[in-house]
Amino acid sequence: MIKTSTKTNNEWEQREKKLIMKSYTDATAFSELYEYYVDKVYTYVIYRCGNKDFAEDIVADTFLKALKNIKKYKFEKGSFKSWLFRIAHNHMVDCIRKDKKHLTVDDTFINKLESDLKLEETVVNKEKILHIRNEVYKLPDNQREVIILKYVMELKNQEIASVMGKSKTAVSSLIFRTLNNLRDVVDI
Amino acid sequence: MKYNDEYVKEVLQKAFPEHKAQESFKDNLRYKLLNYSEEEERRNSMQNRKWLPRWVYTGGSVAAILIILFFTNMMLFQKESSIKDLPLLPSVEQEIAEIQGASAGPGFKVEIDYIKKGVFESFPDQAKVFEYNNIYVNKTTVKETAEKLNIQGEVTKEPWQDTYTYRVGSMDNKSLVVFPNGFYNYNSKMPKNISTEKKPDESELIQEAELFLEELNINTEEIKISGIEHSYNNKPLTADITFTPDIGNQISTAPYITVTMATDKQVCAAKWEWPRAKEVIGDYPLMEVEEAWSAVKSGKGSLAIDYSKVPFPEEGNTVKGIGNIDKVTLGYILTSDNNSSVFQPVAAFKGTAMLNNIEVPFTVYTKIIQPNYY
Repeated sequence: MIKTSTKTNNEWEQREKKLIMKSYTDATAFSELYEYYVDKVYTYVIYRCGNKDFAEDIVADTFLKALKNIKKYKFEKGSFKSWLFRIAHNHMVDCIRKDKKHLTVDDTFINKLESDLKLEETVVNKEKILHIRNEVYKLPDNQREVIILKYVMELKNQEIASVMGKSKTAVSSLIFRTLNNLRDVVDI
Repeated sequence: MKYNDEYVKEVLQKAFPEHKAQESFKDNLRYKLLNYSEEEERRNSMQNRKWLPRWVYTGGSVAAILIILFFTNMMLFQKESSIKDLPLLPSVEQEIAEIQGASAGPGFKVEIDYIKKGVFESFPDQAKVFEYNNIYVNKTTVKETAEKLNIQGEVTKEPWQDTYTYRVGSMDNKSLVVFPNGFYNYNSKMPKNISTEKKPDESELIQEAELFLEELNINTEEIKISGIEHSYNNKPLTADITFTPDIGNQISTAPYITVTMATDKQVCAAKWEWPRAKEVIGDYPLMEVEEAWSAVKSGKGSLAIDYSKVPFPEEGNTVKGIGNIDKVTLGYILTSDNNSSVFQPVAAFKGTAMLNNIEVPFTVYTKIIQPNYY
């Protein structure tokens, strides 16, 4: 994940507010929000579901829903990022419930993961990362999701709570439990 | 236990790098978004109606007001306008079917034609839905629980059928066996020379059992006793005290904890499936009782009956009969999907069925939360 400085984050937050307001009437303003978030939402969804076609459908619907409902977004209720992720989460859970076959991780996705690994420096590193990925994929869906949101997407616990429709306490205990489970099998 | 968050983040970000969507996909979506907005703008544009006569605007405005009033009333009538953003719930039917299937045995069926007797009391407008943290087990959590039970030794992971168990302690003294789905089974050596002459005072047994629960960090203020069974009526040896959450009328077996007390008030065994924490998800709007009743009448209800009391069919493997229903209550059932375990209300119609001239009490369940929350 690309790291950004605090200053850059603050600058983006200011700009984001203006873009959201502007999106009420200006399509290009929303398209700037889209450019900033599309890969983040895609990363979250693909790691959660492991299916490229399904992930693309979810991401497309997420942004269309976000655009349609942009006036309903309230700044005081949480970050735009968590609002967007929540739309993705809810839509994904809905679709998974309706059609369980989407839960199958597809070959394209696995091949893409392996090609990522070729960039790693050493064989030891490569093996360790593969091992971690495998163990994370063995976790129940909600545990995998909370780990991705917390450490890969870098959401705060309050934001994760809002995305997953849980309380902040429930999220904290879910993270703790997930790390305990992972620590049983990987060195982190 | 503390974790080094920065290290965990670094490792996991290496394992799960940003995954970019394909450019062609992003281009298509961008195009859709831009066109979507233009279409919306066109639709909302005031300029498009400049050439229309004045009466169209007036008529349109009146119609708009009438439509708004109509929908406002509809929304008030349906009670759901104030409740938004509640998470969708796992299906109820699936869970009930599993319960029935397990009890009935393969191929055996009971078919009841339900008849309403008397007037059903109405339900409240809303009912609470609870979420439990799913129970996940690892060596650390087993070790922690064993320590609370004063069981010493290594936690071992051993194969069991097509899964595995965690075990600690010795069967000769005290042992704990834990299954990965969160089922705990504790056994302690039976005390010697127990008096079996008279039943012990139940309140004293309960008091001791509650102390045991507190050792396990189970909050005894949020639970209730759902049953006490003595091993023998005349010469009691042990008593099984079963606790369930103090929420309405629980229909599913789990969550529960059964503490087996010897008559000398010592805990000699316990088994439990008890989630670690409970959160209220929210107040969900309920359907009218009559809607649930219609669902039952149209075959969407699920039957729960004590199969040991059901007579065998004269032919085939289906017993048929007529069931008179005289009461309806809210019941709670534990449902689950990939994400969580949800304790949710259902409509529970209770009555008595006549099966081959034998009266058998039964309950038929159906969902009561409004269908758009599934």
